[in-house]
Amino acid sequence: MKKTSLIKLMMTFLRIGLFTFGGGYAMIPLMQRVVVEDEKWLTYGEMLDIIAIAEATPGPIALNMSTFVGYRQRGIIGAIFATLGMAIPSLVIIMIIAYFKDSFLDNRIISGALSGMKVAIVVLIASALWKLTHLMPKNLLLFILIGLLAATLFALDLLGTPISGIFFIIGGGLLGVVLHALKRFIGVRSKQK
Amino acid sequence: MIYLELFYVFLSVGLFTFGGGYAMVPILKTEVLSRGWMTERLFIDFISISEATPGPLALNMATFVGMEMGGILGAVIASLGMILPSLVVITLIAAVFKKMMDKPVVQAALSGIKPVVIALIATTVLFLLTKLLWPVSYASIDIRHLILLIDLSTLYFGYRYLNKKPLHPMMLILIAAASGILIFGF
Repeated sequence: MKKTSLIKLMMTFLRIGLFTFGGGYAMIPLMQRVVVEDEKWLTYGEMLDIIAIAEATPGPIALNMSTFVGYRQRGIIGAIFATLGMAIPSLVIIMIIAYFKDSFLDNRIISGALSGMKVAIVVLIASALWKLTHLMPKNLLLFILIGLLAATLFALDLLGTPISGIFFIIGGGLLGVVLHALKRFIGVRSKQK
Repeated sequence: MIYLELFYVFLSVGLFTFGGGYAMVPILKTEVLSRGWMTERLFIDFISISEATPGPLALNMATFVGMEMGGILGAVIASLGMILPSLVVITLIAAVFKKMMDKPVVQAALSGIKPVVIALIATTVLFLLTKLLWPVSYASIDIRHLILLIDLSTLYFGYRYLNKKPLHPMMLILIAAASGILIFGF
């Protein structure tokens, strides 16, 4: 397989960083298209694995994803290039804005463009979500539980008392391990009979 | 020295930011306000600008606060502090990824985490949608956002239906920006 050049790695994440508006999940549709479908650096399944790992480890998800893919392609130096690529748009754009702090959000053209982009992001994340659900085991109970959890978190958000997702991430991880241990325990018992 | 302090603050914020940028907002707020670096008003302004500009929220905030406190060098140092924990932790994980994924206990934990991630993403979609369509009160729906939402969904999903490859997300974002200027800009 041909080695990915460091410049290409950096430019790819620079482009993704440039189009990631409004929180880490906004980069999921972009990663899906660029990293999974176009470059084939990851499979869909690996991507969901990495999102899950990124949620349970420190740092913004977008940075974690770029570090991971960079390392996969070119080792430590690749991780550094990809992560810097992701960070450069933030750095440059915010530096420019910091000079024009007050006028930036008051500009009708800029705020209009931003309002439009927010709508696109919702459409894109919804579409990426639809794709990700296909990686879940086809289990009705599981989907009901996911729906209930989402509804609860959404209701808490609306009431103005959001709970950090990390507690549910930890809970989900523990639950997965406990269920796995139980299954093995029952399996061992039934084998003994 | 301000540079060291910036580096330390963002390193610790980066280290304790689990699960997305919003988790670090309260931690960063306490750090910044208790050090008397800026007023709460300015901090809140920074959040709204960081939300509206490209890049991860946490990184935008690091650049902003760094710039305010130590100019360009401050911004670079604060951002590096923010990036370092991700870089180290994820590089370590990536190095043992294959071996790690073979462990049944890791698979078991991930099989529990993945549905939660799906639920979190779904919550985000619902929340963003609500904020867009009912920005002021739930009594009145924002018609312009609704029209744009219907147009963009029709375009994106219609294009996917008609073509093999879906419309590039960056393309949709650019089209949305142009439509946003037309609808909201004048």
